[in-house]
Amino acid sequence: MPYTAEISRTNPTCILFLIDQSSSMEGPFGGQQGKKKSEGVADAINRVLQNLVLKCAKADGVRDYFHIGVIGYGDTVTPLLKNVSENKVLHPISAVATSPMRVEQRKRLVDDGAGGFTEQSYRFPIWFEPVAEGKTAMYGALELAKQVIGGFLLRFPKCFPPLIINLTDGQPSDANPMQIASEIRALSSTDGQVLLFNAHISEQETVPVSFPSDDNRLPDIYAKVLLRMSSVLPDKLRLAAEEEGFAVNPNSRGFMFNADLVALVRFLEIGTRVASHVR
Amino acid sequence: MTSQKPFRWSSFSQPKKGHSLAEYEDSAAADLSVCRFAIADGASESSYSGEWANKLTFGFIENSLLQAPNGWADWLPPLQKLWANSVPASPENISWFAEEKLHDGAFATFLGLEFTLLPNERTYQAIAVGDSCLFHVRDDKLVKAFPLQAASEFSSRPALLSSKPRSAGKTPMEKRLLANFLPGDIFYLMTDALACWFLTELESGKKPWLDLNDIRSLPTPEMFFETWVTTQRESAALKNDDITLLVIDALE
Repeated sequence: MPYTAEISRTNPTCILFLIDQSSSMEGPFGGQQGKKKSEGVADAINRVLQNLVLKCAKADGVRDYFHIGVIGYGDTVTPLLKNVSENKVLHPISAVATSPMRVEQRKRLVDDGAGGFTEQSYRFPIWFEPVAEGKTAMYGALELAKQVIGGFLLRFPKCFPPLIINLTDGQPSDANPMQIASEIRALSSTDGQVLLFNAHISEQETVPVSFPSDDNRLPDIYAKVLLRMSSVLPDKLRLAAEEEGFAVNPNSRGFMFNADLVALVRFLEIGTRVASHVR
Repeated sequence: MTSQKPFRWSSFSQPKKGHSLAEYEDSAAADLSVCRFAIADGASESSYSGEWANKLTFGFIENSLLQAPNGWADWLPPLQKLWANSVPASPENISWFAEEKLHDGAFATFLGLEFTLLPNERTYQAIAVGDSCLFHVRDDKLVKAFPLQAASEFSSRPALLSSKPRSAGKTPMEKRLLANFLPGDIFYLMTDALACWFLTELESGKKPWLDLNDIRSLPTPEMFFETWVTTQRESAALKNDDITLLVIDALE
């Protein structure tokens, strides 16, 4: 079970995001000054979705290499991306691409090719707004995730193993999530076990931690529990992380603390990746 | 091919399995009159990369990068302009993602090969960015592998040429080779999936050029190449990717 299945239109994989929308997310985000945790998460998820769409976009449209779902949890557990479809949790990425809630006009500085920079306007899609209210039904969200991933595996039994990314400040209010997390990681396609990654965002202004193998640098018990819930990085993803400059070892886990989430999906390989250093 | 020409060449291509020929994003070009040959592999994560690969290979045939006084600085910008003129110019009527991909530009690996025939010496120069490879075979032995020498050197993040002018890092991460050759030598240019197969076979003590020579000797080599590629993919010996092979025989 080597995590080598090709991700293609006929054999897509699935990426499911679980988003903590509880009231504690109203607190300040240690990772970015002046932002609330809920805003940090909304920004991260929008950028990750944008990156995933761009990975699949070609001149003739968006290729459905991924099925994407976003589940929010607060007092209740709710499938989001309602703009894409009211009823389903998972959506082909081509549908996600064409159905953001809105598209913002933003500006950025780009290389002008002559040694300077020039301002360029661009469109940034918004699928997800910050929400922070109620409790933290993380267990319930993981239960729904297990059900959704189970359905996907029946449909695509040979797929590259689905990836679940849970974004939270880490304090579940409904039940201990360790057991359900372990049940999720035990699900598998013919290519390997389902991957559960956790991204912990915190009020603490500490150094970001990416893909740790132990909890030495993690500041609180919630982060430590989330680390234990996270899958060990398969060799292929670990090597990709290493190529991107992360310090990893064979016990590194899919866990991030106050770190850039885009890195979590950058490794998913659908062909030649365009790295930042290229000319 | 007539016998006055110093070389004979043939090329083969196969799109990635599950993709149509229109989605093939490699390119190969050859011109015997200037003894120049090139291959390029458009990066799958970029849009319009097949067009970019084409601009690079045909650009190399038309104007020698190796003879350009200022190298890349002379050679690349006109091709970047050609690419820009070949893709949609106005973002008004396109989706946010199509616009973003156009902003990013297209990317491709590239390998160019130029032969020089002097009265007493036959030389060739090759230039490569990324993992498109050249293998030089003489008397049933590998003389040179360029720019990669081992299958373990392939990754999903090769050096690439961008269709957008960029100031940072003026010179692409190129590799160059200058060597002699003899009549009878054979040069195999191939994009990464086939090159990785070639080096893997070599590392297990085989002579991978024999398979390719067998295919070339058949009456309908293109058809047999397609069958051979399918078989190799099914046995996982060949990664599912666009495949391009350009073979050049140095004649007497």
